[in-house]
Amino acid sequence: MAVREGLLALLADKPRHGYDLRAEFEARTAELWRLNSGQVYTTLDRLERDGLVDADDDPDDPSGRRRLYRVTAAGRTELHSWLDAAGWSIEPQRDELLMKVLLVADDPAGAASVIESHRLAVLERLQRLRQEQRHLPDELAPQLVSDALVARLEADLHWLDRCEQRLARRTEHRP
Amino acid sequence: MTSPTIAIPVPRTDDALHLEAVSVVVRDGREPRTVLDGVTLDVARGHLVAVMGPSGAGKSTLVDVASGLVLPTHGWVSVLGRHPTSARTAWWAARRRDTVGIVHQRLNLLGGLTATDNVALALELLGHRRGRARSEARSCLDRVGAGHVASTEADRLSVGEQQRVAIARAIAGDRPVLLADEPAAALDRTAADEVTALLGDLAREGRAVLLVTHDSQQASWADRTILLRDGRIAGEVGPT
Repeated sequence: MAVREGLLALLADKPRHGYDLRAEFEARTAELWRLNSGQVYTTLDRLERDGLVDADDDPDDPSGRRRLYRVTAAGRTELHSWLDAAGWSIEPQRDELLMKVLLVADDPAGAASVIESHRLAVLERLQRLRQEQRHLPDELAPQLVSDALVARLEADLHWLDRCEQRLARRTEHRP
Repeated sequence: MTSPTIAIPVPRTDDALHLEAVSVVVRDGREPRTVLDGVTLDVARGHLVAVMGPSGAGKSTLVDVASGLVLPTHGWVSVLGRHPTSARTAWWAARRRDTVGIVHQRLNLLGGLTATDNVALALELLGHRRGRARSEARSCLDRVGAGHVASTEADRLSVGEQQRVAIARAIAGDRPVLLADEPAAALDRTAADEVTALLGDLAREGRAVLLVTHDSQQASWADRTILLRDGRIAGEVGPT
């Protein structure tokens, strides 16, 4: 994801100032992604150059220096095509755990050891996350982020179990 | 002359369930077989501890030792600071019934009886009068999310509902220790997660809960997980 689409999404709600965009971006993403003001203003300049946002001096600002940004029709079109596009790759990721298991898969004892140590590590993290989930504030963003982490760790556990079953079947069938 | 010092194990009082260097050797074949080998673990009130391992690791024997059904060949077990292994069998049998609740993979409910009757029967066996047993049975069923099936016969319930009734039966009578042996093995993934999460909630109310499972997904609901392999503790994760 690019900062550019993030800012467009926030401006689609209502016109905002640069500093307001930065705070709202961090709040919506449960502070997963922190922006510095340089990034915000550089991105806004490019969006304005590309005709995706407009900026005016804010009539309510006594200093007359603050600019209020709003999304254009072209900006909305760009935002929606980004939101609807499947942005992930279905190619296997060069994931470190996957690489480790692939590299030792021919050695049953080595593979079993990699699987077991990672399973315990994933389990520990998942146990801690489930405990943290009981104390999360009643806010959507941190809950959704936590759910995503839990779901990924559950998938890792599931995959490690599958690895173990496949490796066990091969060992049994080996002459 | 002073008598020789005898080392008397002193259990940690905050551990509702404690196993100290427990070994179990069975002699069912020609060679004695070590099923559990020096297992030390404790489960304090307020905690859900999972014991995870493949089949044959000694998990069921661990439950039998913790419940007092099997005596350790070496080592000792204490429940609420008492030593069932050194106590007279009859005393412990009575004590165990009102201290330790057990949930098995096979549910062992009486199919023709309602959920309430199944739980109330267990309370009557503990010495509760019938009226009180039924009212407590209903509140236990409410507690485990099975209040809506209180009047349904057990054999008409789904497997997940039956497991909740079995859990209600195991906690009835305010038993502080709960042993769960593969309680989710017969359930689909969602029902399994719900039942195991429920065990965590029951632990946090002040019970000591020991969950035995082959499934890491179920163990992930615990506060602490102990990995059992070939009768020995092979690893441990979570705060000790």
